[in-house]
Amino acid sequence: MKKILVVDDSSTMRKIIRRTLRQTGLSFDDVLEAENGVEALSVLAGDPAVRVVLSDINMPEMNGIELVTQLRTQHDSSALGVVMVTTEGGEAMVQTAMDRGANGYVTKPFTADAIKDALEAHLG
Amino acid sequence: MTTSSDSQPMRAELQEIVELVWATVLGDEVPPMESAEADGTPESCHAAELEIRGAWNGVFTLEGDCAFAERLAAALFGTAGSDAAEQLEALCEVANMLAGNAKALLPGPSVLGLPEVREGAAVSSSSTRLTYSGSLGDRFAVTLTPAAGWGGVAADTGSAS
Repeated sequence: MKKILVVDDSSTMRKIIRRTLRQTGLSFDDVLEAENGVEALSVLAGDPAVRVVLSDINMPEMNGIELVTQLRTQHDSSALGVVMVTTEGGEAMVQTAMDRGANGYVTKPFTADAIKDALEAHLG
Repeated sequence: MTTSSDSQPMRAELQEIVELVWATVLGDEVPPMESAEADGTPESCHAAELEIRGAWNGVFTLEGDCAFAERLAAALFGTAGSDAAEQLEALCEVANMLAGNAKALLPGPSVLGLPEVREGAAVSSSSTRLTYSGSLGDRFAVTLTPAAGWGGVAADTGSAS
């Protein structure tokens, strides 16, 4: 089983990402959703089939930077891909996400090809 | 309001952002309207506003007529015949994309608030405002307005007027 976890506080953006994922042509079995980092950790703890997390940065409760930090420092997540999806296009934010252990970074607005390129390696 | 490009700092950068988002989301090219024809506000059906707070303070607004809101919802959700709630969701999400990209050009660090529905944009003499007519005749406008006392939106000035 190959699952993708979409983490974004906007239900609209989660819908858009689901639709975009269908357009990528990538092979996966299911898409799960979480509204913030806290919920994402809970989903991940209960489902080892998640191969990659697509996470927003700016979220209430626990943001995307905090999520990737917790995943890389407090959980065995070496096999889990983490790709940030955010409007925060600033270089500093990109660098912080990568320093904390993110595998990739996609800036909104994104194309299906950009999402495909970012996820392909994690769903192989 | 003033509409000449000289008095609207960051106008070219904002225009690039709008063009990028439109090309990606709608697959459409949207040259801004000339100031003479763009005078005034599009007959606003919906408007979404986001606050930017930090090293730069102000608001970003995206507003459009009903045809624009319908088109945006259809593009984002892949379905025709959207209702008002879906149109607002689409407008807020695209406003968030635009504002997030605009924020990266402004002095930082700053924090982007959540989109809120408004009647229309609050335009002042220090606003940077672009009005567009889409390929289907739909009209929309983006406005970046510094908070009172924050002067213009140029990334390199940092001085209050």
